[in-house]
Amino acid sequence: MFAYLTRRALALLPILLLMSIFAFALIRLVPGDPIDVMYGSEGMDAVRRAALRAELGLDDSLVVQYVKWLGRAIVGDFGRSYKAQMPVAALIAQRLPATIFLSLAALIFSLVLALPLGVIAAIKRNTWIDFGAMTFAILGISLPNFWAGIMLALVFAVYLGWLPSIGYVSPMTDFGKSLQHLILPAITLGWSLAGTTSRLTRSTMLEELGKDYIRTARGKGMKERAVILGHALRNALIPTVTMIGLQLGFLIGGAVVVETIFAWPGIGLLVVDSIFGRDYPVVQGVILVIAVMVVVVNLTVDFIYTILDPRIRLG
Amino acid sequence: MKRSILFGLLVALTLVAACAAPTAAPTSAPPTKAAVAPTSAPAAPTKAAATTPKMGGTLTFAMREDVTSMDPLKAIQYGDIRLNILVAQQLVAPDRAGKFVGVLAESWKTDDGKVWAFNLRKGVKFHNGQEFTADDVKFIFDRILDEKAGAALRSTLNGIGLKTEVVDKSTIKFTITSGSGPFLSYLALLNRAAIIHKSSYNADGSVSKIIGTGPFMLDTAKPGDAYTLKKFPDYWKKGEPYLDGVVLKVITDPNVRLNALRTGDVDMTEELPIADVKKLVEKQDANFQTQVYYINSGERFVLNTKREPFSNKNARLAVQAVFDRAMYNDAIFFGLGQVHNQPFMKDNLFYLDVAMPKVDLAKAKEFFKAANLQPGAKIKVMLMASQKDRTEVLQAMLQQVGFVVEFDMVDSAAWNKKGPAYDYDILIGTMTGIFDPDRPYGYLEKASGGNWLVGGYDSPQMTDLLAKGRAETDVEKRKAIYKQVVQLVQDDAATIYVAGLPWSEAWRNTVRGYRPGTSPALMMMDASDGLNVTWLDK
Repeated sequence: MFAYLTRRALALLPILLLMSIFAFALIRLVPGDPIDVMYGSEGMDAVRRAALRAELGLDDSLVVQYVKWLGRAIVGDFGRSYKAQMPVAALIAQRLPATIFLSLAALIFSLVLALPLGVIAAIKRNTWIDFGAMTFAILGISLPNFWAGIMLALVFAVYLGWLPSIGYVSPMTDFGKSLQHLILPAITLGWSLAGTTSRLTRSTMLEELGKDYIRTARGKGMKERAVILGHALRNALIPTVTMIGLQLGFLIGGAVVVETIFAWPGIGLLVVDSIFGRDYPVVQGVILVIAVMVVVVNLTVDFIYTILDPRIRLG
Repeated sequence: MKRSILFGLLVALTLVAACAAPTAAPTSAPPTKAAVAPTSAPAAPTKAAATTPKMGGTLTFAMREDVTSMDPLKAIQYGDIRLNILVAQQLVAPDRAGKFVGVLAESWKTDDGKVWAFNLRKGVKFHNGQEFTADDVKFIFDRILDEKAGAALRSTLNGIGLKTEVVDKSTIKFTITSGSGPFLSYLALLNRAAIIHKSSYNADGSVSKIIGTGPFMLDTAKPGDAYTLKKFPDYWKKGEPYLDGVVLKVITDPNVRLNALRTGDVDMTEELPIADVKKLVEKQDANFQTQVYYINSGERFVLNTKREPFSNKNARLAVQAVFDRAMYNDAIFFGLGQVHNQPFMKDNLFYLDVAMPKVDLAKAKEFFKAANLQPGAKIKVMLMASQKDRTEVLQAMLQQVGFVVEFDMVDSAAWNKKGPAYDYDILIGTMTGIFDPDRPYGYLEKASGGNWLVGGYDSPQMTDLLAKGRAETDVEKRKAIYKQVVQLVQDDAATIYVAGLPWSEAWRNTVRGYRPGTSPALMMMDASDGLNVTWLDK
């Protein structure tokens, strides 16, 4: 197992290298550079511009800039944010907990909702329970999450006053308050994932429930609960776990709309602001961190396969 | 049966969604005329304010954009100014009437407009306990002039030949070779000459924490999230501030800011969605008040004189003749803007008696023909994504003449890249911090570092007028000069000033003592009022 994981981790290094090149190159393709942002529309003379380019290392060739940055990034030094004037690593460390907290909450919400819904929908196929569950799922998939978020905020925060409309409180500071602030963004983010997960779960459950081993289990007099949960669901979860792993990567890096609606200071908003601000070190650093996290998540998914299905041997 | 249940569920969900009234988005169709006429003075609060301030409490303000620079000398964005105005102060600043008054300077004198002696305020301390002296002023102005420091005022102050000399602990002397007329306005431009302590600067020249003399001290800074300020107990204006602290929370979406104000998650906010502003001004909310206020500012259309078609004056005059400011104001600002042809408020002494060009489609077509343009002539308008609601109105207006408009929607970095490269035909600009006519009109000469902001306009007559305006210190004579400037701007269609911007702020009824200032900041730069005299009635 360990050997397998080590081999997989090493195999992903070229992917991370490629990601770092993409992150470095793509942001530089966008018109405008950090100096254009810093000095705004008031004009800057050529002397000042040249001095600043030298100070920021932007007058080196792109290859030299990349190699210098990569050499530092390998040891965890992502450079310094042009805008925040602080180390990128510190900036990411400041914002990452909020993103992880929100992503995990959205994931837990979606699983708690989606798995039972998918299973029940499969068991009660073609009943009103099935239709209701799938309608809920389709709404989650099809409603744009910016609309859903604003509606949830309007109803539960503005009109009912039950929950706050914005902000993040660290669970270390005040756990109760942090949960209050978490509910609406987590539901907004998790609803779409719940929809996809429940539909997939229903589909894979139906497939498993139609297989011979299930008929055999029932024929042997096994309790229905054991048949469903112990046998069918376990096998049905394998594609679902794969999909969740992929979605988690999206949750970590792609929650910028939800972060905007709820003023949630996560890394999604950080990377978008940094793109607009041409804050090259932050963009590169965040993309690399997200890539590493997605890689770790996918390795974890591989590990979970072996638990779900002992036939799967890693390595 | 099953289908009918499903249908019923869908209907029920739709009804629930419909009951939660969505926040109104601005429509592209021009609305009917505003029922409320905009005024230059802020409207009176709807509830009677408590007269005795209460000490204490922390006020949370939702600001629309993040801070991009902690260093006031490099402050460009409104977020920068919102923070540093509360923390750092200038020598002089304009009061509500536009007259320059002392802040960190008590008085000043000049006999010839070239040598200025400022007597500094005594007993002022920085947030680190150090005494404010003339050495601190010299440090800042030397830094502004330092090429490596990247200060926004460098080229302006360098251009007037500024030299700084410490006379004694409380007296500083400035010597300039030109620019006597607008000199005080240079010192007061959007806090870009704020005096902060030299220990604010790190070894690499960056600023992590502003150490100023303002009523609040910076406590924590979380970029992109929030900035926490604490009361400065040794502030030189005894008894102020009343608040224990201020939190500047970054919330970029205007609808989210409005929701946060409604729920009380923030106490104050700025720049609400314009359609909501109009409704709220007409009928105030029970829990908070919304005010629209005006400062010297404006939206303008800049025509690129460096390339065709607008290198041809007739082409520019065609655009000017067809531009319907009133219609534009109704469509974009819901009638809340102040239509103008100069970026000053109408009651400002520098709003001069120059008639606004009338909309004349026939004349516009004549100019179009005289420019040897054919119907379908393509032009490119560069605008920011936040200005996308302008596209339909512009297309409709300019199409009448024969232009076909393509839009280049950019972010601010691309705007600052393409602008100086003159990669546009028309760009939409805005400007604030206008306390002297040299500020907006000073760009209208080729030598100005910001000449691209006016499309590269170059006219010997204009250059001559601007030089006279800068050299003159008598107000009436300056007015006469700038009247000619404004007339020439229109005669040449150098740039089209469209409307004064409607700035909006809103605050919960528990916030007392606040009124908007004369710049997009939370405190008057002259330290007279703002958050320094605001209190919470909770």
